[in-house]
This record gives sequence, structure tokens and C-alpha cells, in this order.
Amino acid sequence: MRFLSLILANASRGRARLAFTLGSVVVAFLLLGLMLPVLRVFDSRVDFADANRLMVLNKASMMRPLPINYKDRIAELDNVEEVGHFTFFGAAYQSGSNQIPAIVTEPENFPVMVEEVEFRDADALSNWQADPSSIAVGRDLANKHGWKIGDLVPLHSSIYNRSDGNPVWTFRVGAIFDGAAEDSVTDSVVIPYEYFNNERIKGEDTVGWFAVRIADANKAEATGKAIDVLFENSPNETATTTERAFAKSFLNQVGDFKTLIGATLILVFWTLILITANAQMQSIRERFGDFAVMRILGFRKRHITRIILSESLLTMFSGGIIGMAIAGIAVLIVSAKAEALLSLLSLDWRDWLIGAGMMIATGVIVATIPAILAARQNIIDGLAETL
Amino acid sequence: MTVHDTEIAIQAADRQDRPPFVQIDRVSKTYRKGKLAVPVLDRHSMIIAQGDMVALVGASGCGKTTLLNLIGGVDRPDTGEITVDKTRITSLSDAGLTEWRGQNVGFIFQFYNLLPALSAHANVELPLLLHDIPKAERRARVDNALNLVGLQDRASHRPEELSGGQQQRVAIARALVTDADLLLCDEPTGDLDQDSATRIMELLSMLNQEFGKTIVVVTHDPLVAEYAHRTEHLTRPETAA
Ligand SMILES: Nc1ncnc2c1ncn2[C@@H]1O[C@H](COP(=O)(O)OP(=O)(O)O)[C@@H](O)[C@H]1O
Ligand SMILES: [Mg+2]
Repeated sequence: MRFLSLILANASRGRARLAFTLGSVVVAFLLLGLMLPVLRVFDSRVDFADANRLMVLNKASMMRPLPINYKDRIAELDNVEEVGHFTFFGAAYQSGSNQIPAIVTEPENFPVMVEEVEFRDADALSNWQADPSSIAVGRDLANKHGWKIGDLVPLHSSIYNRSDGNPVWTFRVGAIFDGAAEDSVTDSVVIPYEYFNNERIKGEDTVGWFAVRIADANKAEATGKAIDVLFENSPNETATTTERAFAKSFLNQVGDFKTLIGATLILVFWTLILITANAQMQSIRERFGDFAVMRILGFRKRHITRIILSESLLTMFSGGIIGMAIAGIAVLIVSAKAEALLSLLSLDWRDWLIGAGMMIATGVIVATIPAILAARQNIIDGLAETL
Repeated sequence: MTVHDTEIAIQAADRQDRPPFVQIDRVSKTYRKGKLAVPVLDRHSMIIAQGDMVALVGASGCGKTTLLNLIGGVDRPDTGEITVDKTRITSLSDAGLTEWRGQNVGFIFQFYNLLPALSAHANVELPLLLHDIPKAERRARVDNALNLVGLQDRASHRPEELSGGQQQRVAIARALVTDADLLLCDEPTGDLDQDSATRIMELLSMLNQEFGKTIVVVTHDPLVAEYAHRTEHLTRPETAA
């Protein structure tokens, strides 16, 4: 780093150009810092999904319900440990725009089926399981609305009306659950099936999908097949997948979005490389005379190459770190204010690692052509340019 | 013969006894531009003694700069040998030549060729960055060199903030800082007014007399040539038409 003072002195020579170059580097890495966490959130949903759980859906459409009596027939199959079922409630609280993830299931086996949650208060759990009109609420959601055990909570369902035609269902908070993992989101409501099924006006004795916990994940495919065979040629044929596979297929739709983001990032970095390479080239051209003098003074070609490369890396790292730091702050603000998926956003060490990789890569690419030009340059011609 | 002339004659005789410092042995150089061949030096030989101060004169385009570049190891002759202080520089590798000239030769150009972004101090320090010299010692050496050329109070100025004469003195300081024994000056006063030119030549004379530097000065100016102990006339070889 003996040449650092040299590099900094040169940077101060072309201030305006440096400002433009740095600006474009900052913007590119700002975008990278914003997009990487978004891309990762999509992937994290797949991570949450469990390979030990099969999802049994209606083959005709995943929106169509299945008869609840499938449950016992599935439970009799080999490799099946536990069968649960789930139905979307379509809840909103206070206003239609304030949607809350709410799911209908059987409280008895909910803690077993969904290992991602944890009931730390055993009494509360049994109270919830004993009271058919009570709901279990995730800690984050309870905190957000200040709900305590015993509170009455009116939830508006956009899918199911009660038998009197009223879409508003009032439940008592029976239990509050936490996430099993530290970073899990607990922003959902769990509603007991029996009460819901008795009270609703349509769709009686049906469920959204079955979740099947299996003993041996290696036999997941065979078990899935066995389930689908069971209901072949019935009015409601089933399609069974592992949750992981299901989540992936769901995310294929999201995948297009990811491709879009990826393409945008590539374009942004391509532009960045063009802009900075051009600026670098100009600044190197202007200094061909300087380099010729330095060569005469005893600087070797590799010294000149090192100076050019360091300059380029320094530009990328100073601009890149500023850009990603701004992104980090922005992501922090967004995730604090947002709900559901977006609240998972965070710029972590993996993103910084990718960012650092991009800084090195673009720095090296941008330095390559100027370094070659400078190394090829004839000293005497270079000197002539200063005259 | 005046006393003064006698003294010069004695000094000249004295120098003749000194070992040769630069030996140029039948050196030829032809530039090629496409099909056009421009012969510049044709089996040119020349000896410069240690501690000598030589003026190199000749018509424009006769090859003075070319010869200086060959002596300084900036360029290579097509044929012939050049030996400087017992090192046969024509046999060195490219990297070896670069290192040699960084350590043994100080260059001074007509247009100073300072780096515009750097202060006088940083310009003089430049050649020292190639060696593992502690910062404090680098500082001391640069201060010394700037002192010697009388610019200690201009260390933080950039070239554009200095006059031509001052810039040339910074360039001389840069040539001195590595303690090179050979100074090659290509029309060092060509762009300066009379007073500045005098000052530069007095400085070079002092370096020759007090510090024993061997100096080659390319010049058009007879007044400048007077500072040298002797003058070499360069003529251009006849172009084969
Ligand atoms: N790099 C070069 N390529 C081609 N011709 C050159 C080059 N350098 C110098 N010459 C030619 O060689 C001759 C001598 O040049 P030079 O040594 O610069 O002369 P001087 O310094 O005596 O004026 C000139 O005719 C010049 O045009
Ligand atoms: Mg010349």
C-alpha cells in the first residue's frame, strides 16, 4: 500500500468524474443490497417447508376443498404417522385492508403437525384446545394488537359467512404461541375446525388440504402415490406433494419475478462496468505521460498494473460499501414497518459476501483494459504525449 | 593562456585520467515507421569519464534525445554496447534495465515531467516508493533534496503552483533523491527564461563539482554549453537515398 497516497492524490485530480463514477457504483450496490434480501426471502419460505410433511390437495384445483372423511382413510396407510387438515379463513381485522393470516385446523394435533410453533404455556394450550370458540394467536400478532388471553377478537372472513349471514366471527383468545426457531414469524391466527365447521353457511365437512406427517421422509413419494391411488376415480381426486415441493411449485410463479430481478441486476452491473470502465480508461489515457515518467523512474509494468487495479478496487469498495450500507438501513426500516413476508427482510453476512465478490469482480474487470493499455504503452511515445 | 584557462586545462587533463564512466561502443539505432527507416545513430562511439560534465549539441532531429535514452536505458540500440559504471546495460533484461535505471540514473526533461496531481514533496518521493525505505527516512531524503535545490518551503505546492524554473528544480530534486551518479538532462533550460536557466545550470554545475555527479546535458544554447567541461557534436548519419 506504498502507492496509496499516489492513488488518493490522483483521485483528487479528477473530482467531478470521480463523483459521477462513485455515484453510479453507489446506486448499483444500493440496488444489489435491496434485491438480495428480497430474493432470499422467497427462498427462505422453501426452507421452512418440511420434507416430512405431505400436502394433499384437490387435484382439480388447489383452491377446491376436499371431504374431511378422507382423513381416516389416509391415516390407515403405511408410513403415515399423523394426519391434520387446514383451511384458509381469509381474515381481516378492523378494516378490510388489514389482512391477517388465519387458518382453520384441529387444535388437538396442531402442535404436532406444525413444529414451527411452540406453546410455552401448557395451561393456555389445554384451555384453547378445550374451548371450541377460542383461537390461538402468534406472539407477534398479539403484541401488535395488544391482545391478551381472554380478549374477544372480531375477525371478518372474506370467504365464510356464519349461519346467520354475518361475515364477522368473534373469537376468544385462548392461547398465545411462539416460534420454535428464533427468527420465525408469529403473526397468524389458528381457529378450531369443529366450531367453524358447525357455524359456517357453506362448505360443510370439507377442508382446504390435508397435511400428512410421515415416519420416513425417504418414502415420501411412495406414500404420496398411495394416497392419490386411494381417491382415484372419486369426485375429488387428490394431488399429493411434499411441502417442500409444493412450496417450490408455488414459488415458480414467484420465480418469474426473481428472474426479472436477476435480469435487472445484471443490466445494472453491466451498465456500471461500462460507465466505470469508460471513466477509468479516460483517466488512464490522461495519465499515459505520468506512467511513462514513472516507468523511466524505475516503476515496473507490474507496479503500474497494481496501481490501476488498486484504484479500480478502491472505487468499487468505497462506492459499494456506501451503497450496501444505505440498502442495509433501508431494509431495516422496511422490515420494521412491513408485515408478513417483507418483515423477514434483512441484509446479512451472506449478502455482504456476495456484495464483496461483486466489488472484486467489477473492480478487476474494469481495471483489465486500462492495465493492458498502460502495460503495452511504449515509454518514449508516452513521454511524447506530455509534450 | 590566462591563469583561468590553465586551470581548466589542468582540470581537463585530470579528468582524462579518471576511469571511463559511460562507454558507448559502436551503437546504431534506426527508427522504423512502417516501411520508412530513419537511421539516427550509426556506429556511434563515445566515452564519458567519471565526474565529467558533457554538453551534447547538434541540429534538431540529429538524435540527441535518442542517445540520451540509450545511455539511460530507456531504449535499446539495434547494435553496439553501452556500459555504465561497469554495468553492461545492453545485456540486462527489461526488468533488470528498469530497476537499474531507477537506481542509477536521474532524468531531467525540457518540460520537467512532474506528476500534476502530486505535490513537490510527493513528486520527489516517487522514485523512493519503489524501495523498502521507512517513511521517516523517505521524508528526510526528500527534504534534503528539496533543500539542495532551494525549494524546502515549496514542498506542498503542486506543479501548477510553481514557476517553470521551480518545477525544473523539483525535477532535479527528484533526480537526486535516489543518489544516482549519472544525471541525464534533455534541454533542461529549453523552456526557461535566462535567469532561471542560469540558476538551473549553476545548480547542475554545483552537483557536478561538489557531489561528483556525472552529467550529460543536451542543449541548443551556447551559454548552457559553457557550463560543461567539453562539448560533443552530434551529426546525423547520411540517409541512404
Ligand atoms: N519513437 C520514434 N519513432 C520514430 N522516429 C523517431 C522516434 N523518436 C525520434 N525519431 C526520429 O529520430 C530522429 C532523432 O530524434 P531525436 O533523438 O528526438 O532528435 P533530437 O533530440 O536531436 O532533436 C528524428 O528524425 C525523429 O523524428
Ligand atoms: Mg530532443
